Amino acid sequence: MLRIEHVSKSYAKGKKAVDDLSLHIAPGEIFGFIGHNGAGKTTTLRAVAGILDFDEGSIIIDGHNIRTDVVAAKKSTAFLPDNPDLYDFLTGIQFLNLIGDIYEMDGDSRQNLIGKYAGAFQLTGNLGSPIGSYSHGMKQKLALVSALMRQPRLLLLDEPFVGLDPSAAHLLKQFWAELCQQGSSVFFSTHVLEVAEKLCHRIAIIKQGKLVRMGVTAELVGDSTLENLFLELEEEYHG
Amino acid sequence: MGKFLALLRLNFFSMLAAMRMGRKKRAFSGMGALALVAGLSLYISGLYSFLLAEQLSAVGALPLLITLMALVSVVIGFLFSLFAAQGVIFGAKDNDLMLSLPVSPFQLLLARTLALYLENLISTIFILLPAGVIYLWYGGSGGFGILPVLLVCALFLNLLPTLLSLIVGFLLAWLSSHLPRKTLATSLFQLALLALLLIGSFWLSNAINHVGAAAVGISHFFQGWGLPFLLLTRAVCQGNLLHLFGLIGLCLLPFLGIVWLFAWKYASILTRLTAHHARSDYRLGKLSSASQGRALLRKEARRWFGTPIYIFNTGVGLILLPIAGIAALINRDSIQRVLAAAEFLPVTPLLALGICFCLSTVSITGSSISLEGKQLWLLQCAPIPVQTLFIIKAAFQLLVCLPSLLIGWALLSLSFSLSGTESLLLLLSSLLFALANAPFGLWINLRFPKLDAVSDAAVVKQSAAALLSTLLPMGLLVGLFVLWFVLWSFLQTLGLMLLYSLILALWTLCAVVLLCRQGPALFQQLSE
Repeated sequence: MLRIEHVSKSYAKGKKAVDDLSLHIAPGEIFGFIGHNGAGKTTTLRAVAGILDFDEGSIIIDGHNIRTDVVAAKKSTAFLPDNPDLYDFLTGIQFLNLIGDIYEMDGDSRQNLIGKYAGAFQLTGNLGSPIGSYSHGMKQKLALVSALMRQPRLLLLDEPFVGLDPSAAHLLKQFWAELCQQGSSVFFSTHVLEVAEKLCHRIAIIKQGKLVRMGVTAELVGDSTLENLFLELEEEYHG
Repeated sequence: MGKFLALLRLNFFSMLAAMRMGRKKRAFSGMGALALVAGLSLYISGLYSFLLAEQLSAVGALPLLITLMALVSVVIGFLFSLFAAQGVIFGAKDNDLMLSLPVSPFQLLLARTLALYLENLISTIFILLPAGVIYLWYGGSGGFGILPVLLVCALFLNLLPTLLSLIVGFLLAWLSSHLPRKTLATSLFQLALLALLLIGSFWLSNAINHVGAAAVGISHFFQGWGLPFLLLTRAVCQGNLLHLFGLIGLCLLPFLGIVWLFAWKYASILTRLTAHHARSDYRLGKLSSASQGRALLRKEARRWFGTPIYIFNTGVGLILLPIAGIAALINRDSIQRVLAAAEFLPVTPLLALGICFCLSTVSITGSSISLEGKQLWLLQCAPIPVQTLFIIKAAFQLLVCLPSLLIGWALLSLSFSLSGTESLLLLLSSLLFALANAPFGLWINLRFPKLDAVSDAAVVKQSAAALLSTLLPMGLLVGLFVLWFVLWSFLQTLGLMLLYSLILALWTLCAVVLLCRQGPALFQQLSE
């Protein structure tokens, strides 16, 4: 579903945010991306989403190159940043309709999917209000509804559990599982290691832009915990 | 005091940052933008001061020049800061942070108001000092010693336009926080203000031509409400210190008093402004779909119509054009008489310049990218070619311009009894200018984006892109006027109109090519 091949990205003054990163995500897989602050997770996710250009390598989403076949690649994905800022001057339903139109969804399926996801997140009643009146959590839920209603082939999320209440977080995990059963994949970054350990089929750990570990979660963790593994790697790196 | 100074520095530098152009090597500091304001003020001051001094020196009333230019500086300062006040003082996005700091509302309000004061100070000084020099040039008394006095006066007189802007900003914010339809109420209030300002400007322009004859009457006119201006004149021209202290008191005390008074309600107004009317009874009904283009156009329209400061900073020309057309139609007989007397002068090119001038103020695309701000990620990850996004943003500006342009063009053509060819060339040149402005504004905004502004007002009023996307096309119009001045006797109407159309067609081509060639890469760089 996603092939990242030897991707590198440097910012001004030559600071390498991502250094020769390669990873593949199969259809139906939930893939966790872990690393300390500034490790290059967000840069990678933004590059995959087509927001950020990169210096070297290639990114293929569902067979579409993000550089040469950008519209088709973007149409297969739904990306949510860590703090999704939405248009405050639109109401919730106007925003969802805008997204529906941009992703060329027909009226009926849009109505069904908004009904399903907004209903599950208990947001339907608020859809007539301006987004400016929403709390942070409600904005987060609206952004999730807008991503899930597209039924993306690849769901990209940066720290998706920040700001979500426990029931919404539980629902989100259910919806991921549902998407994966349909053959879609989920690629997300997180600092909540317990969630990553329980949820992800595979995990990648990134440090200063370089991939330091990647594999099936159970095999990587072994008898220990993901937290221990992460801390060991941290010590190894600093030692 | 330390906390207050830190707040003042923060607010002033955040305002300068809003004006900053570009990053890295192509950076052009906020100070550069202030220099632009200074240059504009210098031009206004020079123009009006010479006009007035010529008439006033002839009737022995030269000190009135200082009085009138002080009034002009207050009016210009008020115009510069009028709509900014609501955004900078009441609509800043860092209200939550500021209100959580251990500072009193008085200190916060004073710091924000003084930031506005500092911005205004440039225009006040650069209007008053040249007026002083011209006053001396025409033989005014006092010698060069009047200039430092004038500078001190400018420091305190500048509190008046700032105070007026604060009062209007407060009224607008109060209205917005108390009425259910905030956007509509604010828009209507600003429209009324704009109408008053336009009437005032027309009145001032007419009055300047007859100022010599009415010098005595004007002096009497200032006694009363215009006391600060009279005190300033006496302090400067007679070197009267008592009058200088009087002026300082008349400017400083009301300023501090009103800031102190408003500070009582400041926190509650800010709280009410951020509160929204929320409903929780929405029922999902049948949803219909639209094309990508239509959906994005609707979004642009909702942003424009839903942001009063955006409408009023980019919509004045849209109102002026039909008003000019209607005024011309009403005065059709007088126009015909003037045209008959100046038959040899090609008027149609001047009409084209007039229409284009109105259109140059309609730079919606000049702020369109900056206003996306932190929501830009939505467009960047949308499955839409970036060229399509550009086309939609430019198309929205054209859609907004067209009705006003067509009405203005038709009425002016009728009022000036233009021939079919002249009328068509007038339409062609106006359309070309409108067509060029939309992609040009977008290109400028991509080159000088301001995605992290503290308020929408900072983007549409103070950002480098908003300024340049208006001023550069105006510069082109000045060039076209110079061409008219040089070539009118050779080329006459048709020749000049063809030349204008050709130049504007090239301008359009340049704007489109620039946007197509550099736009996508600049758009991509916005996330760096």
